[in-house]
Amino acid sequence: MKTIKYAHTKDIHDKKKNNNFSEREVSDQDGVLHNTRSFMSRDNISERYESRPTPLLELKNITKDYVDDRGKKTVVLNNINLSINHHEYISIVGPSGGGKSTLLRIIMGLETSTTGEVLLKGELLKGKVDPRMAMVFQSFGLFPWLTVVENVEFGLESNHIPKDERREKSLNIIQEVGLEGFENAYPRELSGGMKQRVGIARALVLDPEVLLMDEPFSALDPLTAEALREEILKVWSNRLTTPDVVIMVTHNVEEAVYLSDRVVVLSHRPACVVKEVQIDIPRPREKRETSIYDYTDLITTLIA
Amino acid sequence: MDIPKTHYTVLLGFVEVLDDLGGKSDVAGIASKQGLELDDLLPLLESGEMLGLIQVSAGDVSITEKGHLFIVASPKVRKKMLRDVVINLDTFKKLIDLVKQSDKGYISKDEVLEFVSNETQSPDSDVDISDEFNWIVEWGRQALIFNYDANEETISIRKR
Repeated sequence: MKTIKYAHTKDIHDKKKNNNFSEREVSDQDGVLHNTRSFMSRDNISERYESRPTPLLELKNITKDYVDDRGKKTVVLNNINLSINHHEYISIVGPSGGGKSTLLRIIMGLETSTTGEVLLKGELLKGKVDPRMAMVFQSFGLFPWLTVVENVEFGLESNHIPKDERREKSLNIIQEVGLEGFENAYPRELSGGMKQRVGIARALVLDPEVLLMDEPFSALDPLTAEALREEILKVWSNRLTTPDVVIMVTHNVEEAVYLSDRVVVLSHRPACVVKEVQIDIPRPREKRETSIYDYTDLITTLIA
Repeated sequence: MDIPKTHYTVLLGFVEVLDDLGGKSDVAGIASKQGLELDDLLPLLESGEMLGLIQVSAGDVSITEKGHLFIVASPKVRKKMLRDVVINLDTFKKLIDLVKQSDKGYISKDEVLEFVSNETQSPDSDVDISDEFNWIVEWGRQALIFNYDANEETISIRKR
């Protein structure tokens, strides 16, 4: 018998501040089935948002070019337009070196685009890091001299949150991503999987509305990646506050299909959007569903 | 020594994959599909069995009822499930006693290394003592049994 793991959806009406929600899943089988049913009525979710005309995030005519020392211009991104709705899990795939990460960095505000604009809830972002977004990096990006809890807290320090509150918030997130017990460990003491959990915790503690992930699983061994994919889905679907939207860059098409509501396919450099593929497979998904392979084949063909 | 000798997230991924395969697979098949070398596979199977999450018999590996519960559980419940098993493993029982007997409330890394060396003493033993130490720390933390202070190099009992 295949156990239904959890409902991959967020019910905004269920957003409670305490974190006992997911615990119901193991102790109460009925809870699982109930959650799953609430997912199945995906229509309800879109209904709730039909009244909202503004997408959560919009990219308008994003172009990025670099000029090298000899004055030679390289166009990396060519007129990218993208509109992302509430509650979407989006993956961006494309050939390597095609500008996927650059696009993510522009959304995050770590790089500026040459032309075009990024709008969050209709509001123009001015090319600096917005507190409503957070990023998870392929190489974890942890401070080796800080412990796990200090790494997680670090991002909160500039937010003028009192010390006690920072610690409490961090410990809650640490528990949520399965890092409890490792609070005082240093990154060098952690396996790759645990390091990336710290990377994820450090992003989530900021309560981002948009979680950006740049190849988050590609530096991990296949089994660790497998486990963390499931955990990211749990966080995205069951987490009671944020993130509302995940945008993930990956070169693993099957991973993109399994996780996403929509896969955005970029072309070779200069990258433009070749196609947006809506992944119409109900959640929770089975990894061995043939439709996953069908979408994977389709998207792989688009990239090649 | 009865210590799980595989990283937690790797084991978790293995149980997830097994679940996706319908809860059962032949060992050779899952190993080749996941690119697992024998050196990784054996400790993985042994640890999974030790924790009661999987069962190996006659070349097949299957997920246990507890393994099922484990992958659907919340992080908090998972920790409790791990703790209930790990705290009763002989090595951890002995180490907990050592810490409790100590006046200082903690034992040093050297004391643990000495303990490991005594426990694994045999002429043909090829056990790497510092590897064993790292697994003790990793699983002691994972199961919320021990705290390890890497600066002071001391192990103490985690307060609940």
